[in-house]
Amino acid sequence: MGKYWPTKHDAFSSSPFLAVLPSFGGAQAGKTYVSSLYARFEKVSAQMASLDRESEQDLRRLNAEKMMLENVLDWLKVRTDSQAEE
Amino acid sequence: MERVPARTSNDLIKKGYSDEEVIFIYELALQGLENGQIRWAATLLHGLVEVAPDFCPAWIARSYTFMYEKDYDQAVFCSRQALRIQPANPAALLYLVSCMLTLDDYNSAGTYLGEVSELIEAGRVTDTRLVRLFRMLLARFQNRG
Repeated sequence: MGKYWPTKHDAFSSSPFLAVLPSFGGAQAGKTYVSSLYARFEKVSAQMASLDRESEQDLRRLNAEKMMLENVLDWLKVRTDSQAEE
Repeated sequence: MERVPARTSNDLIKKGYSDEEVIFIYELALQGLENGQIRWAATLLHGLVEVAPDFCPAWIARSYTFMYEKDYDQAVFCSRQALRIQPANPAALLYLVSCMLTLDDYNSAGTYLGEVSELIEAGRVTDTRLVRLFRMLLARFQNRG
């Protein structure tokens, strides 16, 4: 039996709210952004270190950005490593 | 699918992210949602709406993560943020309908359903998945207990 791949029709049936989210063709060319996203990560880390305690809102915003970048960079690293092994 | 609203150069100066980077991170989050990595995707989307607050799709996807976690107040907030950017976005309107039905706010649900109905009748919604979701929610609205 061949491997089962869900079609767009099936995707709607299983999760209609997910199926209607706008899409731009998938996460491609990730490697292109490694340097720029890493630079942003470094920048946001430095900004967080220099903030005073009164800037709680800024700290929250920067923390959200840092966590996002950390996760994206981890994903890119795993992908790059697995591609190197192939 | 919905078109990405053009971001002003002012947005780029303030946040520094290119459109390509924003779309890449959004697509990565979408991939996470499709794979069931909801919290991972939510972390990406939370950051994305901070760095690109006028990128409508990220707000709708963020709303999805809150709906998944049954935090409907936050889901409503995110859908409304999406509508602030694109006032006639059918996906954001349908998300609001679902939240309102769950929150037993049938008046608001009916109003948003009416808005989507008008968009469909005017030929401004061509994606059949959106039309199907509209019909599903309309049936849920009509069969409310």
